[in-house]
Parts: sequence; C-alpha cells; structure tokens
Amino acid sequence: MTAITAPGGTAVDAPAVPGPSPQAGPGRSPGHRLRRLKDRAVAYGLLFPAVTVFVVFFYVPAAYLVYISFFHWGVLSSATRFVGLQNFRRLFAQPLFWHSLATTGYYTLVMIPATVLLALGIALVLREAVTARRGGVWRSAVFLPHVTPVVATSIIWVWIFNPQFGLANFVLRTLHLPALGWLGSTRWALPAVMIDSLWHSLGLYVIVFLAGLANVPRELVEVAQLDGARRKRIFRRVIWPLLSPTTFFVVILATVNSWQAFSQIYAMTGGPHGGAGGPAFSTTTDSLLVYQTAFVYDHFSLAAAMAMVLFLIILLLTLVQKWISNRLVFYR
Amino acid sequence: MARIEMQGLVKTYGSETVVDGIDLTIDDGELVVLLGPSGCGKTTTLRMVAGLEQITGGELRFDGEVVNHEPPDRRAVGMVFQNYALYPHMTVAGNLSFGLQSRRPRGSRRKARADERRRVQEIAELLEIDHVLDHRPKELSGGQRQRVALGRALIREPRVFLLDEPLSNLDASLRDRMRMELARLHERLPVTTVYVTHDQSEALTLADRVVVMHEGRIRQVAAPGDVYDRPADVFVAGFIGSPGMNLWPRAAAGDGDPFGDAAPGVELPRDAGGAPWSDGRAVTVGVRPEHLRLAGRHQDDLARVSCRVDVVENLGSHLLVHGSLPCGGGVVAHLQAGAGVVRDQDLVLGALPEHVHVFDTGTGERLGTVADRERIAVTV
Repeated sequence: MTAITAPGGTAVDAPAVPGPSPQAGPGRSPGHRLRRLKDRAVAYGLLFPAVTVFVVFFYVPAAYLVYISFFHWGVLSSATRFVGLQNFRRLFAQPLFWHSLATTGYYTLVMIPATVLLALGIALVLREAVTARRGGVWRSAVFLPHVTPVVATSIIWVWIFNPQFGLANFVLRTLHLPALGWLGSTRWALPAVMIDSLWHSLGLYVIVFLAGLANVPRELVEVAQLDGARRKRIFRRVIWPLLSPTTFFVVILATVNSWQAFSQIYAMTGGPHGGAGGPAFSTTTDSLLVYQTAFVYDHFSLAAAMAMVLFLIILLLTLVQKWISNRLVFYR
Repeated sequence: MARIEMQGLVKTYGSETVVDGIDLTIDDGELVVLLGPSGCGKTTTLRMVAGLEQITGGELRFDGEVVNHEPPDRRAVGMVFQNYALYPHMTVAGNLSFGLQSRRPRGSRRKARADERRRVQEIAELLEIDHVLDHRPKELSGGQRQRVALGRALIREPRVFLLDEPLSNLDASLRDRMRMELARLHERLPVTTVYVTHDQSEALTLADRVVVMHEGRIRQVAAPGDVYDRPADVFVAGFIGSPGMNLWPRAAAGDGDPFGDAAPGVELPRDAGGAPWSDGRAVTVGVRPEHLRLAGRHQDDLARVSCRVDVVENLGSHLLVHGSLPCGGGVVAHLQAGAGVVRDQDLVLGALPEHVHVFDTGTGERLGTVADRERIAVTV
C-alpha cells in the first residue's frame, strides 16, 4: 500500500500500482542496498546455529572418516601414517566383511517386502474395519511399539524366543509344529531379529500408509464402484497407483533402517548367546561389524573403510530406487 | 433409460435426519434438477439414487423394480462428481475405458478391446476431446476435464445419468457455455437425468422440472417457469430469483383491512378488500424486485411501497436499489438504468396486483396473488 493525499489533505492508503518501482534496476539507491544487506545478515544469523551444529557433528566427522580410511589411525596412537588403499584391500580380503554384507542384504530383502505388505495390510484393515470412534485406540495400539525403546523390547523378545520357556515355541508346540532354537540357532536367529524389528517398526509405517490412504479421494473409489470395478481391481488400478509415493517413501525408510539395523541385533544376540552378531556370525550385519571392528577390536581405520563402502552401497541403492521411482511412482 | 420412483425416501446419520421422506417420480428421459441451499439433502438424495449411500427408509424403484439394496454397479447409473473425480494417473482414454474394461466379458479379449477402442473414440468425438485422448487430467483445462467426466459417465450407456454440481468448478463464462452444451447433449442423448445444483440459473435453464429442497424435504416440484411465477411457499419465493422475493409479514387482519397494518409503508390496491385471507389469519406479502417500478404516491391500482434508499448498485443494464421501510424492513428493486435514484432519496415503488404474492404466515404456503383472489376464494 502506498500513502496518497486525499483532497482534504489527509494521507490515506491506496493499493500499490503494479509495475517497475522507481528504484528497480541497476541504479538502486544505497538505502535499498543497505536494507538488502541487513536482511541477508539476519537470515544468515538465524541459520548459523543450525548450520554450525550440522557441520560440526555431521560433515566434519564424515570428512574425517574419509580421511582416516586412507591412514593407519588409532584413538590413542600418535603413529598416524598414510597407507593409501591398504585398509580397503584388507577389508575386501576379509570373508567376514562379505558375510556381513550378505547378511545385511538378506535382512533388507526380507524386511522391505514384509514391511510394505504387513503395514499396508494393517492400514487397509484399520481403515475399512475399524469405526471412526475406535480408530484412534487401534491406531495408538499399532503405533505404541514404535515409541518403546528398542533395547527394552528386544529383551522381552529374547524371553519370547527362549527355546525352553518362550512364548514362540509354546505357540509352535500348541500348533503341533516342531520347536525352534531361535536365537541359539544359526538358521533362525536372524528371522527372530527380523520379527522383533518388524514388530517394533511396523507402527510407523502403518501410520504413514494410513495417511497415504486418507489422501486417496473417496470419489475415485466411488467412481470405480459405479464403473463396475470389484474391490481387487479398485485396489490394483486406483488405490495402489495413488499410494505409490507413500510406498516409495516406506521402501526408502525401510531400506535405510535395514542397512542401519544395530540395536535390536546387539541386544538380542549378545549376553548368554555369546558375542553380539552370533551364533557363528549368523546375525552379524555390516553396522554391527563396523561397531565391533572399531570399538571392540580397535581397528578404526578398517572400520572407517568399511563405513565408506557402506556409504557407497547405500548411495547406489538410493540412486537405483530413485531411478525406479521416476518410472513407477505417480505424483499428483 | 429408466423411470425413477422415490417413495418416502429417508436418510439419517445417527439421530440426524438429512433426507426426510422424499416422494418424487422422474419420467423416462426427463431432466430433473434438485435445487436447494447447501445442506438441504440434494446431494445425499442423488447419492442414494447412485447407490453410494444406504437408504435408511422408503423405497427407490427403477422401472418399477426396487433397487434399495442393489450395489452401485448393478444400477447402471453414470455419475459426474463436483470435482470430476478423474483418475489422475490414467490418460483420458484410460479414464473413458476404465468402466468398459471393468465389465469386459470373459473370452474374446481381442474383440472386446477393439470394441472399447471404438466406443472411446465415438464418445471422445461426441464430446470433442478426441485430440486429448493420450493426455492426463492435469494437462487438461477445466472444460476438457468436465467433458472427460461426462464421457466416462456416458460411455457405458447408463439408464440414469446423475450430475452433482458439475459446473461449480468452472469460471463464469465457461460455466455458461458448458450449460448450453449439457442442454444440447441431453437433447441428443435423452437419458433420464438427475442434476444437483444450488445455482438457480442452471436449474431454470436446464430442467424439465425443478425440485426445490430445503432441510431434507421437497418444497416444490414444478416446471422452471412455475417455480419462479408461482412459488409454493415463502422459502421457494425467497430462494428463487436473484435477489429473492421481497417478503413483508403483516399482522392478523380484521374485516375490511385484509392485510393488517404491521408493515407500514406497504400499501395494497384499494380493491383488495374482501379477499379470503381477511378471515383473521396473518399473511406475508411478497413482490419480486424485478416487478417493482417507480410509482406515484396516489396510484391506487398498484401495490405501493414507500422506502428510503440505502444503497444503489449500478449493474450496467439496470440498478439494484436497496431501501428501508418505515417499519424497519427492507426492500430490493430492479430499476431501469438511468432512473435517477440516489442514496437517502424517499421513493414510492409500485407493483401490479398480479405480481403481489400472498402467503400464509403460519404455514408459509402461497395463497395466490392479489389479482387472483377470487380464484383463491374458491380453492382456499
């Protein structure tokens, strides 16, 4: 609004006339430049604390990680020396590294489809079968495991998977199925961890899918009903394509969480079952191996090289997912 | 095509009654418009006809067959939603053919696909959208989207065609054009059509019959001209017309003073005495703004309204004059452009007796006009 003078001499507000301002263009007044500088200073001042925290606690350690992956380096050692690609050569020569990659890959490949299918299924059931009045209670019940501490719930799962007294084997025996060794078995330890991880993380993904489903316009489903489409076809041709951005988001989250799985494995497979990652390294994922290499065996340089490789793998996976999403995901 | 019969149709949500006993018969090929303000139950009625809402009470018949419990796809209805509800991830061709594919007969897939392609092409040509068949909805203009929605509803040759405020998302000029196109389309494809709108110009120009609804009930079913000229009650009189009819309640009248004197400033023609409403009942007098004109203070043959002008809106073709009566009520009048009316001017407006409607204040029902009081004397 611009102040103009009314016939009576009083200043009144009038709408600003669109068009070039007298100060626009290269010949801006010094006052205008000063104001812009001041605005920028305020903006950078406000950004500074957050950027500082981010740089100090994220970029500097990440850069330092890259640095030490090319050195022989220890926390207390003063004999730091450049070793080139030696850490990487040692890493690739370790069978345990390849085994941990395979374990993580297996864990991720099972977790992603299981997460998507179960979370979407539960979300559909919650949306369809639960009345609006009780919906909040059910949603809270499903989300609750996600807000409980992983370590605490993992200890409960250790009891559930106890071969002698655990609930899991009790259920199997009740169903006349053979009891399993669970966390003591090289074959079943990782599936046991997966069950815990799924139970813990599903709540979040269910809520994400519920939000996605709420964004599918009701009219589209009604039009499809009028068009004579059955439930299966409505889901496949109408709801599922519109849920693709949500599904993509869930897949990305599940992938990252799977590659970073640590706490539940550490809590469930440590203690009476031997060192974490057991038995016989059957639950040693890459995150666990990085931790053990750095903090148990004190090989920080090797762990840094390992983390570098993991970073590149996750980057590659993300790029592949992005490429796939450009073809399959529909954004409205 | 189908004849639709609604008998005592009721819809309740918990303790709230949204549609309260609708009785209506729509003939084969007829275009009926459900008209009313927001929340009057018109869309709910349409959705019950479509099968998208469970019917709480009453019966709905298509060609004499009760369809209360038939699912939407068995009713063979085509529906256009207010926001078009086009599948955003499909092309125009995909949107048009979705319904055909859903009902594709088993076997002879190749032939079915060829038939679908032919049908899509036909309907696209009819609606002049054949050049955008491979476009997605977000690449289309509002008018094109509307045509795609129409095409998708028509492609399966429905028995009943339902339109839920289909023009409300278009700008004014496009809305006028599409309204004419819809009228032409109905002439070419005379499918039984139920059209929901709150826009009376759409209702009056498109409908064979208009159904005015209020608070879940039908207030009047009549041809567009009749709804305007002979509104069934005070609500219809106030709702139809833009602005609606001027309504002035008057106190219970005594003998020789048929209209009482509760609204000073409104004088009726001198020979209006002896009318049937002089039996002591309270009446409401109504005149449409477009039937008021400048009058002399002593023109006894006219109903006269004395008022002071509050606001004059110059709409180019005419003036819309808002005035206040001495009794505190208001009056709106359409006057000729250049009538020389200014703010704070004292005016006398007049209307011919045949344009002065009389309503029973108690029931709201229309009794007639001052001019046809003899006819009313027979019927009331």
